[in-house]
Amino acid sequence: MLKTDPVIVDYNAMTPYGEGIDVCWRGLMNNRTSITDIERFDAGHFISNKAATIKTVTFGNEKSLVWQMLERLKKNINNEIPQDADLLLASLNGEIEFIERELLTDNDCSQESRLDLLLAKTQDLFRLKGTGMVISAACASSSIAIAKAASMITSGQSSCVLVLACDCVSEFIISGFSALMALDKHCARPFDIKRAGLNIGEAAGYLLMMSQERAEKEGRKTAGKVRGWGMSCDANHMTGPSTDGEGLFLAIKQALDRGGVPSEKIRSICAHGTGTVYNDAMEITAYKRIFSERVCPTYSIKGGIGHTMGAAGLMDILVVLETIKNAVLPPTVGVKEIAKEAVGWVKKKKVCLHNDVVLSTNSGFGGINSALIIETCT
Amino acid sequence: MIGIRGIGWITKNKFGSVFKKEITEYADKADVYSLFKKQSIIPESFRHFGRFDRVSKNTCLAISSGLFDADVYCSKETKPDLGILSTNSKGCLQSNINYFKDYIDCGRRLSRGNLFIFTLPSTPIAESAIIFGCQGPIAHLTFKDDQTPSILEHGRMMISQKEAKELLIVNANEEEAICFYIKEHAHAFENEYMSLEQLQESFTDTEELSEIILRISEKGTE
Repeated sequence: MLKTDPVIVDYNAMTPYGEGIDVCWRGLMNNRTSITDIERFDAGHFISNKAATIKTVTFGNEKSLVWQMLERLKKNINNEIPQDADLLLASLNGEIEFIERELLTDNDCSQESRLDLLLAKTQDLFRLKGTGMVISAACASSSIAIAKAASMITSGQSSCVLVLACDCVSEFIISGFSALMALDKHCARPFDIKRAGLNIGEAAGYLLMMSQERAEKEGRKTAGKVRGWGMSCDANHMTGPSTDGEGLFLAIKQALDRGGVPSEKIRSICAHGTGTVYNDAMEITAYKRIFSERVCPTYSIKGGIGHTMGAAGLMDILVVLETIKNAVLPPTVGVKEIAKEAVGWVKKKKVCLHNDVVLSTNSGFGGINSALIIETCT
Repeated sequence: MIGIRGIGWITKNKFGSVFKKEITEYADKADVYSLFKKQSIIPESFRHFGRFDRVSKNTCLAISSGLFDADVYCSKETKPDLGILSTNSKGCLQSNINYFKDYIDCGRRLSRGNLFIFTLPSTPIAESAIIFGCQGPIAHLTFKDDQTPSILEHGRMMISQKEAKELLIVNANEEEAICFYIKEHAHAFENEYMSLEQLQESFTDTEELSEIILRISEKGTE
């Protein structure tokens, strides 16, 4: 290990399964979905009225859903977060309810939805004195934030970075995805032959990263290390991925090259796996280009917690850390009959394996792709 | 060293390219696109300008001017390994309002996907990436203050860390935009306006985007 290696020293989340990553992990391992009918607003006229929502936050409260999620997340922090930590906040829309509120109730509050204000408030909430930045890169926002944190630590710019991610289920979001015909009226079925779209989910999570040197000095236990990262753009279409998987292929290749990891070393893949026809097919195409003849065990968590948008990449990594710890991959919740192109790659049941080097990928609107390689700390 | 290869900008009534020392005045924003076409600043293959929101239009035009300033031609067909970072203080606030207002006006039953896609802060640069074929990293970064110097510093870091070979760095809002095309180079460019370091040193605290554009565009005409 190098002194500047970016290691993960703490993590947790609140998801539609409940508070704590352990609750989420158990839900996924039990092959149980948290996607239910939307009760927050009338969603009956949308293509789908299904989403994965956190039941312990209150819609219509003076505080936004995202803010309530962040406040509760703070209570679920396992170990102390150093005050000098730099903050990277990943979110698609932040406190988007302030837009809804202004337009539905004539309450002049849309400015409060600004991400720079959310950043300042979050720094105060977590009592952080370091630098801060919000990263918005569609549904790859939080994986790009993790890549950025790793880069800041490796370059010596920072020795401690808190990556926070959060997004919520709102009428604003559901109406938009419905208009794009991207929702499945049933529960999402990533990599299924009959998959028909995604379901939106909400989550808030954090990942505390440090340089190996600082983690050792502070006696922190390490859960894993960010070994490689890559980012690219399809430069093809706003809402649809490149069918040849070229953009994602480039991001994965960059991540492998940066980490000096040959593809044979990758034990498993945490796919973006939204459940849309085109995304899932594109991902398998890109993986096949990288792994050639080799089949690498692959799963998606979006049939369990829905597509948590800006938080999706971070939620994937939290689950990756659990797979490393428990030496088992969760089943892909929702899949019944695996699509032809994914046969052999995606499993309906859990897979036990020595999982020491993992690839996780995300792709978002605008053709934005990211790839992260997480390795166990030896 | 990392150098500034081109700087393009647009305001309410002017646009220009700093190294080329070109400034064009215009009366109506509706005419800008045809002026860009006429001056061959924008790729021929680009046909969807009309449906863009205002931040996306300004982002795209500033990038066009920045690339034109550097004599670099990029298009959907060339697919350069070029990334784009953007920043601003308000994100896509107005597009968020426009989208949801339209949805309410439609009785909260129908919404428009073509308005919804502009409710992401990263959409203006993603649209530009499609137009110019940019396959490098794409991200919108929001800071509490000092947006332009902060994002330039992150661009510098990304190139130093080999996360991107070259980058277009944009600060764009509803009224104006500026784009810096930065790239690592073994030696100073012949027509180099200044190194990135020099540019970074020139910023003062609390300098607004309009003041930055005015200062940099004036310097380019000296």
